Amino acid sequence: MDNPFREFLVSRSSPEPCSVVIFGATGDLTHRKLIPALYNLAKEGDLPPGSRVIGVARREKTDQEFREELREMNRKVSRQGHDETLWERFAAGISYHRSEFNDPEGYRSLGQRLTDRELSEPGRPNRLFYLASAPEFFDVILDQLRESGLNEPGEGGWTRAVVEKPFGTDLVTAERLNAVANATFPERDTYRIDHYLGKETAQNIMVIRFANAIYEPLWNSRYIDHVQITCAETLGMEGGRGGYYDTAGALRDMVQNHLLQLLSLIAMEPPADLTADGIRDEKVKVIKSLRRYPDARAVADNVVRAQYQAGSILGQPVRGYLAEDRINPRSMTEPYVALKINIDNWRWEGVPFYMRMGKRLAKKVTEISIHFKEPPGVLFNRLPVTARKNVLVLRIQPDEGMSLRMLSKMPGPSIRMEPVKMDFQYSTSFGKPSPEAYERLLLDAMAGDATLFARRDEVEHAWRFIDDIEHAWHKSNSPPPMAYYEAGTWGPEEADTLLSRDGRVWRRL
Amino acid sequence: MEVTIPAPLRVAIDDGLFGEETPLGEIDLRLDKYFSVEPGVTRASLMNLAIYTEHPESLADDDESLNRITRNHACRALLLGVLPDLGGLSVRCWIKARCQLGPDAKGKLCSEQVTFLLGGDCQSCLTNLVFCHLRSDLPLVMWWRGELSHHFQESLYTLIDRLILDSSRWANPVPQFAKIAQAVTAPTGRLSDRRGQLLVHDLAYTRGHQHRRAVAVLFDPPAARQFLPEINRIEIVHTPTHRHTGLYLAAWITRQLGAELVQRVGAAYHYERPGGARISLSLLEQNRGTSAIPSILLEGGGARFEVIASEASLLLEIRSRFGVHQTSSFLPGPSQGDEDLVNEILMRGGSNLLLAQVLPRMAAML
Repeated sequence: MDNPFREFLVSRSSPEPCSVVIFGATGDLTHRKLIPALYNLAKEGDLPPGSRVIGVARREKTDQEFREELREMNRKVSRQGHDETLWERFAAGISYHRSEFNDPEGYRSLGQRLTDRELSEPGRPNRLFYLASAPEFFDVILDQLRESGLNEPGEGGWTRAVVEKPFGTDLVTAERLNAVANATFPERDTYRIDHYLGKETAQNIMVIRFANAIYEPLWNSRYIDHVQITCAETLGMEGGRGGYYDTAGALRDMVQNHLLQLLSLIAMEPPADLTADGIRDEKVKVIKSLRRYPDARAVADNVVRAQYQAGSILGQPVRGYLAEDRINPRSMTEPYVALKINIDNWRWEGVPFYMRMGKRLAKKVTEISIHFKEPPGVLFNRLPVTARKNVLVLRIQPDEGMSLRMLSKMPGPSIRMEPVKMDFQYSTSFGKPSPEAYERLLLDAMAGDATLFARRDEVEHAWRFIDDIEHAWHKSNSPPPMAYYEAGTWGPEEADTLLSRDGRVWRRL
Repeated sequence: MEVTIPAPLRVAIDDGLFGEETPLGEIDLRLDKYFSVEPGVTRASLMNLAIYTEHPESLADDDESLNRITRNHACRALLLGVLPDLGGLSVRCWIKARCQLGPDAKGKLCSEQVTFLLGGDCQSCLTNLVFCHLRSDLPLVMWWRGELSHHFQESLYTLIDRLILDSSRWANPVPQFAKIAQAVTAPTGRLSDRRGQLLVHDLAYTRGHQHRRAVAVLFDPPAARQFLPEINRIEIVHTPTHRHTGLYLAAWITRQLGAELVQRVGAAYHYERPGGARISLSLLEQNRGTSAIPSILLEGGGARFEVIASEASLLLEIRSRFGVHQTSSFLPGPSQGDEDLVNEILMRGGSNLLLAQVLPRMAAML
């Protein structure tokens, strides 16, 4: 029997009360993102009453010590501030469970703890296992969940697993991890998180495309000249992140997941419906249609990898990549990558997608820009003018929003044209601030809505595309060279050449 | 002709509360001028928001309401004060910008406000004032304060996209609800971009939103839902000024339970379910706490489900007792002020389908 009082009350699937079991509970992600997200959901009244959090990690710690640490961090980072009364109520549902990730006894006692709690309360035995540990433990945790039977749903309940990125380091490891994950949880209960998809603008891409009449007729190779996707960061390897980053690089850390997800939302066909699989079916078709680079030569022609050298950010001198903390001084890992991607399907024939991601660039910005073709060169278009093309920009961060550039006549007796910009910002347009991506994604996982999570085939096809490049860089006899750029600039000259040889330039950001 | 202004309002005008007094024909000109000379200012607008009142002595309060709403919703605000009893016809108007620091303290983000004081009984004047001062292409939200007078007429309401009112302030609600029913079924006006019916929001209904969520949460556990067919007694406590909120909740709960009203005796209502099972519902008026609805109780079959507002109304406690289970937890309490409720409505948007379905049942209980 459905709950009749839920009818019309909310326009989304209702999350169900559950036990959220977080593996890696003492880590940064739990403290900075997951707990504040759950707290803010509680503050909004969106966290289903009766939900509980159990943090699992290896360090010795009491429930009280764990809550205190979380409280301190929540005070600093909570989006809606920290209310002590509300925190007390929220934190009463948080507990800590010490266990090695490979210790069967730890899982047995965790299961006992969950069962005891579920028997004492009227809700269904729903369990959400969140893998926020270091990635090398993902398969161990999944194996142990299966061995201990914790993956099996209790009567009337469900069990689901949320897996953080990186989901594998190449196709082989991703397939292996997928095999372990699906041996433990069915695909419908496996939620591979990509927090970019939880951002408002990412969700807005489909609304812009499919809820407005003016864009979709133009959204093809007849009218669009090219697309640029930029993810620029000013940060380098602060806070000890170099240790992980030097094993990953920009291509695997950002392009394989976040940027290819954005690309697929931009390039996908209209889905048959708005179900999770309806949308993911179309996204995966795009990933499958990416033209692969057959050899190192093709990679060299279409992909630029680079490292930053000493420079300055906001007036402060910064070190080069190879001199950063925890970076191998002879590292061949790329903190910058630029790609020219072609999509071999009917809609995008001949429309290149240029993508760049880099550390220590001039400013922090993530955006997608759609560059339309020039109008016919008659009438006004005989006149000399800069920036003749219309550009639609979707800003992911910061200042989430969109803008449209077009030409307008300047006031005066002569015909002079200049580009003008129509601008929309979420923060100045809607009263309600955008929720953190993790709030939305946690709620979706509790509600069983996988739309904003990556499916197995999406992940594997993305790795197939990425692996060609990684192989050319690290396993071929003639690897494409590493380029270099000064920290605080917009990347290496070779990346500019990638566009200029096609008669195009990167958007000035 | 000069409008005769009530004394408290005169003080507000003299203090410059409504901004710069402006000739009617120069409103847009002067607003454009203001925004062209102020550096670092963004003129933002997502909607036209009009507040209408026939009690201009409260215009200063309405101005403060706009202050609180425009912090969250950039708009062109129209504040319309009408003195219908005044002989003759006259209009005065003022303009001002409402600015706040933009995100990251970069520049200022401004809404614009035009305040009209209209003396005399001129229906077409009011409609024209609204018509000619709307920002084009943006929806019109009208918050109608007080009773729906004869100024609430077809040429005006067919222009409105979203109408906000508060039935709990009406002295004689039955004819007022009849006007609403007429407006909702009226064909869309020639000049409105709206498709479909006028969307109506009654603050008396919105006040019960968190209570509706709380009742829904009580029955989220499947074990609790087993007791739904057993529910045979409902008790809703409301404060003296919020009977309509209690009625809306009663109408909603019984609708969702599939029960129909068969008899009314004073504040006691008797409902029958399709299978013939009876539900007795009582509305009790009590003067306690600050919440419009201090408590809701549903019981039957040995189970008991309650929503109880805390004294300060900041939280709602939900309690249930059924079988061997006894639980208690908290949810955020309802919004307090009318402006907060309007903010909530503007934030949620949507088609308000549920109110449309509950309203006739509620009106039948009046």
